[in-house]
Amino acid sequence: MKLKQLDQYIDFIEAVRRCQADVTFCSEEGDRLNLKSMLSQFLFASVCGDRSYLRGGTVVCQSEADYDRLSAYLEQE
Amino acid sequence: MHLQDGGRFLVVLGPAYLKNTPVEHSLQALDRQGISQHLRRQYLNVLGDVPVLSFEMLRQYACILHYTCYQETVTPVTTEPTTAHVRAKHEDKTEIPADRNDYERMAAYEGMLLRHLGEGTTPQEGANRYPGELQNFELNDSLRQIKNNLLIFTGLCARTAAQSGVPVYTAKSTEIEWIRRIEEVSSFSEAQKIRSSMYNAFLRQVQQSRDSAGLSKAVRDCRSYIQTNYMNELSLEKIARHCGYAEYYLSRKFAKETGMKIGEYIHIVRIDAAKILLLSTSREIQEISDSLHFGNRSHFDRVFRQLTGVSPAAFRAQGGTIPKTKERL
Repeated sequence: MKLKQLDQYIDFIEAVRRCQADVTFCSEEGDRLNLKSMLSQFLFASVCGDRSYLRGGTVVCQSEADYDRLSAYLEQE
Repeated sequence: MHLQDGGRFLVVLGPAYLKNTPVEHSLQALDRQGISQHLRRQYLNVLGDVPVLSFEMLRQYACILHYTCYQETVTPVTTEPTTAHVRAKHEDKTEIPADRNDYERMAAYEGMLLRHLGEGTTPQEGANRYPGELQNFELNDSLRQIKNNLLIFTGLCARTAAQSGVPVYTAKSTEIEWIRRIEEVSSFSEAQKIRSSMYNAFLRQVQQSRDSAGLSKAVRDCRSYIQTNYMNELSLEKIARHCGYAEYYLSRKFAKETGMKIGEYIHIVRIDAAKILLLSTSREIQEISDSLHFGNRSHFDRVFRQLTGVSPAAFRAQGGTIPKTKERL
């Protein structure tokens, strides 16, 4: 699913941490960031202001239930 | 921070890169992740704005902030790092030890300095600037850690000097003197200054021992005794008695072989010591003059100016950047 515009990066990351399984952000350039990893969180933080980068990527949850946990931040398809 | 109305707020100092987590490690991790150039560039742009500090500096800022808010002094023991930044986890969640590269870098750096010391050659400009202290967060006192590192390095320098021809008694006495000074250190900047002063003192001894290779045992013993005991009262009688020669014989032999009187040589050694004290301590010039047995301040000033071209005060003010002492044998 696509990410909505992120106003609060920290809130989104906190929500990801509460997810049961891995949450991966996949960018158009081919990046695969496992948002449970601290390094990936740093990387993700560095592009938070880049709307085109975020809009071009998708969030993939390993567990279906986690999509509900992140519903506030994801665009419904 | 606690407010008067019972509320609380959190003050965050940072972000900052700690010295023992160099940027290179992040770059290597990025390479392992196969990150796109776009993301890599964005990340490095952000990293470029993050200052690199030592943990000790952050700790000092925290102590200053605490004092500003509460007028209460905190000691380094009461400010502890969390362990989160000490260990890094791989993607497979196994822990890796504290940065191995730092230890290797320090060992290589010290090895280079000791090699120069053993050869009696001066390291390149800037090479005597220590790359930074290893931060061992298991110890609560960083200044103690730095002192321990200094003490170990002093021992290594003393051993290298003795192996390179400096009389063992001289090297050992010098080591003991520097150990005493290191224990008196009370700040990080003082520790840095004392490191290079200590190293240069041993380097000079090695160079002198090489230069004195053509001198007789009597004169070498005499010089060695003066280099070891310049902080004490010295007289020709005392020196000659220690070396086991008659005063007249020793005095003439010294002058013949070195081209200068024993008294002049004592001045040279004491002025060299004065230069170190002027640069590495904040002791009063009068105190330094007294500790080096110059009799009075004006005598000290006169001898200092004769050998260096400037007054002790000017030497200290200029950070020691002036012509060296007269050529020694």
